[in-house]
Amino acid sequence: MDKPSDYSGYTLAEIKELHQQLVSEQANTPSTTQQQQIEQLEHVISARESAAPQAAEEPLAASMPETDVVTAAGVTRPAKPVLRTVPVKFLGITSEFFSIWIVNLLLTIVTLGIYSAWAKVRTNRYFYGNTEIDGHRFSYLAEPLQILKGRIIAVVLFASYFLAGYISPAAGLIVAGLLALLAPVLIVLSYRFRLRMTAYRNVRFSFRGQIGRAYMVFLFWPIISLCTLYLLLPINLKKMDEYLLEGSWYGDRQFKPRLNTGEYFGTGIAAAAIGMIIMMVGGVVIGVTSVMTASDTESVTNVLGFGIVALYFLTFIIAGSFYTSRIRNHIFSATELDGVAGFKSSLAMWELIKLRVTNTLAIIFSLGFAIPWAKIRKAQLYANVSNVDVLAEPDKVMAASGNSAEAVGEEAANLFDVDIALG
Amino acid sequence: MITGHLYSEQSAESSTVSVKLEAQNMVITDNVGEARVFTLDSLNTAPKLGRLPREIRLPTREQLVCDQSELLNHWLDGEHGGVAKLETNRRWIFGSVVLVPALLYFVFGWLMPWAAVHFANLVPDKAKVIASQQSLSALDATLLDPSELDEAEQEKIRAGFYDVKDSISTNHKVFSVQFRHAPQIGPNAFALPDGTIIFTDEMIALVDGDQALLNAIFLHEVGHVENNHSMQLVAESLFATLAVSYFFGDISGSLEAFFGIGSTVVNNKFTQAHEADADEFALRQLRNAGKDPMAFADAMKKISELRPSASETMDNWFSSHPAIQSRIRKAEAFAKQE
Repeated sequence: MDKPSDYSGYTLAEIKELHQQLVSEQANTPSTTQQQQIEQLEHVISARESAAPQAAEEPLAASMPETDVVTAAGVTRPAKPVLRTVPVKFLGITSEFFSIWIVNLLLTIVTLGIYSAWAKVRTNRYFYGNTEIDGHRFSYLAEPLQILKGRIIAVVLFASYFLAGYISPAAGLIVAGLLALLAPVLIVLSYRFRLRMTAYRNVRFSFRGQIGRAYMVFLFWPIISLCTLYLLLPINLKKMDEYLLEGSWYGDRQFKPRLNTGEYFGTGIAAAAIGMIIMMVGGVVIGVTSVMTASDTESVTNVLGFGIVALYFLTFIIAGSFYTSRIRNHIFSATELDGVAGFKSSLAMWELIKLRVTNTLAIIFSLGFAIPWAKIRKAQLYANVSNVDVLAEPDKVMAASGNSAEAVGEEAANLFDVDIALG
Repeated sequence: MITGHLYSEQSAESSTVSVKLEAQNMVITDNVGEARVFTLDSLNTAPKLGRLPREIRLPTREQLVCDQSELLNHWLDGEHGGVAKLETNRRWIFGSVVLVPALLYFVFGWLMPWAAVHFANLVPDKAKVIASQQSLSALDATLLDPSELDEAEQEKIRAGFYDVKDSISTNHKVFSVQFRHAPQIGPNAFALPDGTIIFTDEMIALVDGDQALLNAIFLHEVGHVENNHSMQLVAESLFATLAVSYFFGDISGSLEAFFGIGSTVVNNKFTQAHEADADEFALRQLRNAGKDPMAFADAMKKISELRPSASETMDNWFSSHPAIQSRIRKAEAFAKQE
């Protein structure tokens, strides 16, 4: 299937060179697809040259994907061959994490939640530190006091919303409105914090997404999607993922997603359909079961009540797993860490469903003690289905710091760096 | 021989190095034989955690990562085990398994209500007046219509309430009773924090204007005001939400949904406790005022006829009030004892 290639990332010189290449190849081994491509290139060349002569030397897009080359078949592929494909390994084990989790939980309760900042750091260090790619592990660098600061702010915000609502429903609405208006800022701040606190091989990640665009994606687009009765929700979701990915950097390399809107629409519609079918079928099953097995009003109500709760969970898990697995797989294969790595995810919907159902049941029936087991299992599954294509040795990736203006910006950001997300 | 990865301070470059520990010094030798010495004090080491390799930040901002070994751990940490010592101690682990559920029960069942009561008492009266007025305005604008009972009838019922109120002693002094027509709510009575009590016309109709039953319900509402229940509930909800969020933090996906339902259940437990308290207040005060506590049981029976509960189990979990049958049972038991 021929898709028109996007040449906006190339300079005019590069396009002309490619055109030259293809013309000579066409002379030797002609093919219709190649001829179509030659014509397409000629079209692009004349468009560029007539547009703005001086700008013709610049690529149309801000970025220059030096790694992408258009081959004769019109398929974009990293120019750099894959040096090696490495699996993502998760090395954490339940027995070890259970002890960490339960002791930290005790300390958290005894300190009425204050220790929770330390507990969070230890938990994240455990999961990040036990994630290994290509022989090197991730680090989580946050300090507990930073987390505590963020949590205190979050508590104040939340409590003021609560209390405002008590004094006057109108005031409550106003505060809720203000918080909603602030939401994009909070999202960016906490995402930025999370990435900056993550490092691999002593190079930090960072988030450089513009706040203005955050408002588009997290406030403006949700309103639009709401107005269209969620018909445009897939576009919104795609834009959110795109925004977060494009704004993410590893050192001085940017993550480059090439997300497909069609994929989001297809998956979204299918997930909604699956959800509705399960609800309908499940509703009938529950209705029939409750009538057949129960003898009095009390038991019928019980069966109905708990049956509906279970159905709600099942729908959420099944439809959600369908969406999550497909979109995750798509995002991985469509994203490249500029020149350094490609990604692959082979998460199967049924594996995810099995994981979520068994985790949920285990946690409920163990009255919560299975939580560490569930977290470890989830990390293992996600790691097992993830692979990284190493395109170039990461040695050349520079830590985005030093004398650049970035560093000053980062330090200033440090003051405002609070992990505001509740919980 | 200790080996480790040494990561550059300005790029993702890494090299293998060997590490020697001598007294207070760490000697790092790279693969071309060059050695550098760092003192223990100059190093910034992340606390020991599970079996994670030790991450050591050098003063040059390079990072050294070495697998754990007793030698290295002892050199880095000395005698300070840190939290890792507790996390690997059998007694602490077992103790935590036992104490965590016990403490959770204590915190949610006792500590929060206690703190909520004291928190609620700090709220100034002025705030309660404003809150009550605002709430009533909001309700009048939405669910409540002016009462369709005539003035005489309202006065008669009110007089009965004030009679009862005068024969008991309360901390809160000012109670004012108002009536509203509420087709969407049906028979109901509710109290606002400043002592305003609203009865719906439908409630008066349900009990056929029986003053004895109305008095019982009135005292139940007075109980809510006396015990500052509405502010107490606000505090309890706030504490519970924060606790669940920070004790159990990042639980994702279906579990979040579960906690959504879970917090509804927790909230219901708080409101059910308040309702039980108000019931008890009403029963005791009925007796104090020389009235028959059975009137309260009768009032509950009338309500249960209108809205029979389909399942006591479901009510226990998902209803904000205790199951109506258990309220009736408690009231009858109280009335029968002398």
